[in-house]
Amino acid sequence: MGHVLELGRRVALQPMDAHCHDITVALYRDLAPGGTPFYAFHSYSCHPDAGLRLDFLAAAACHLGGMVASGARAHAVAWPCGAAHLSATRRLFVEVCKLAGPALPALRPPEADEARSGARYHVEGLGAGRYRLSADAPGDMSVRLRTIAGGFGKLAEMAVDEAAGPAVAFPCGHDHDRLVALLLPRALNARAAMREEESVAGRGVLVAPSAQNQPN
Amino acid sequence: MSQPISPMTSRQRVLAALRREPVDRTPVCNPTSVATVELMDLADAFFPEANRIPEKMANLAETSYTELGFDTIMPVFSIIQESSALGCKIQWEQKDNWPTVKMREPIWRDVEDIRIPPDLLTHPDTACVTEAIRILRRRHGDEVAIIGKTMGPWSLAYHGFGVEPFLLMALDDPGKTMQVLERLKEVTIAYGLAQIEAGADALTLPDHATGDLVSADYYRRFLKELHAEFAARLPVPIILHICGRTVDRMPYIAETGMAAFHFDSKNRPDESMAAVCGHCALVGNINNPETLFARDPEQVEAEVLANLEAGIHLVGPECAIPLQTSIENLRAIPRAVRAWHSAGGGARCHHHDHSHNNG
Repeated sequence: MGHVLELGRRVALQPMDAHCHDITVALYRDLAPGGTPFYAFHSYSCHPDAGLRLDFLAAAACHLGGMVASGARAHAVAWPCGAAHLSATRRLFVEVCKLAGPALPALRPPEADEARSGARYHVEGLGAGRYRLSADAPGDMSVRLRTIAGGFGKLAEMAVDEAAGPAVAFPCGHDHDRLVALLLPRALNARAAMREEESVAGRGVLVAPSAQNQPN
Repeated sequence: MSQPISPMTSRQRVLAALRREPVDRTPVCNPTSVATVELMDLADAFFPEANRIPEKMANLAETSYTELGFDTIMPVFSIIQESSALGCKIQWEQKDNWPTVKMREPIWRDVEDIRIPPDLLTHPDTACVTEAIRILRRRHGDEVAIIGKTMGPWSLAYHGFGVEPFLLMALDDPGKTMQVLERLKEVTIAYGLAQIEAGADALTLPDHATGDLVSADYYRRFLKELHAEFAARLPVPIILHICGRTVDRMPYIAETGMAAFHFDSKNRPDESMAAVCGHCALVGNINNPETLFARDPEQVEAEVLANLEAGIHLVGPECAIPLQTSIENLRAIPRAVRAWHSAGGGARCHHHDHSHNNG
């Protein structure tokens, strides 16, 4: 049997990793000696494949999200800007856990198509952590763009500047191009993305007999 | 003036608190489950096997003591073991979810349908629990309190008849309802005695007369006497567990002779202490879905302190915790208890009345 480790604060969980023998993978947040936040992928599983899976997930977070490896701990990653970006990191965790590995996927382009409207949306870096949203579509897309900007706000705690296009900005003032490209398809329907996270989190919670017809 | 209490083992501490005797510190107790998916990985014991294989059940259960620092081990994570032996259909689920009785496929329609099978105690799903208790007792000796679980007749009736049909029966035909409960109480007794014989120090007895389904008057009419009978016939401390808002029936529960009541966070600690009026111990009542599951250790510690300040006898989660609960939130419970006692809170803790209760 293993032993519980002092890993910091758990911020995300994949209870059953379908790509690695149903092991549980968690993301822990801690502070490096200089006070910079870092995140570590961790599993208490003793399955022989668990370590390789954690290697892959950390590498995928760097590749797809633009995080960098942190020497603070095994399978640890951090944002190059030194900020925490907690919501964005949680979303990145969800995205990388979906990947089967071991090969890393192609980087996402800074654009995404929307089947419903036929529109193609773009994010364009403006520097200093700011990004302008635009759309290739007939008609006035300003309302839709504002909604997508709000999606970025929900998924990554980005500030929304409606006057500039609209534009969204990271509070750290640094660019995160890969992360923005990764988040764009989710920002098109942020509510669905958040429902997905809630659905995973809701498993294993007992419900009162009157609510479920199943007493516990 | 109270005498200082010599250091106790976890088992001594829990049993003393259940008798409402002085303790060296407030015990941390899990009358239901503290299993999590991370602890399953750590123990290499996963649902559903950890509900069906004694060794796996014991390995996962003991993490509450060895890893979390609780004073108890509770191997009966679910509420379906004896219902499986009775013939209910079970959805065993997988690692990240609870096994449940398929109550939409009831096995009984009337009193006469209730058959207690001769293999009730040797069925693999009931024998798993008794064997796990034996394993745990061999491993841990007298160091830690091992708590078993035997379901009450009201809950067993939900499983066998379905929730709605049984509640309608209680409404339409109280006489028949009493016959059902009388028949099913023998399951509760037999399974409880088997676990005591296997080495259980105490038993949790869930009987879901919950506040949102059953009134306090129903509790008094249908269950109070039965619960008193359980307290008399099962020779270890019994911890009654009922979810939800139950403060209206706590005075009745306190008169049954049950050693303790495992109460929900929908009831404030101070009002609950007033409701039982010193006649039984209280166990709980750290909130599961909002605090343990979704918040941080600081909020967990705040709830622990509220319980300690109210004089709650044993502190722990209000019910079986969500399987995705974080380990650091669970470890915050014993840490907060120890910190409170180190800061002098223990002096107030030794006040528990000295009346003995139920073995």
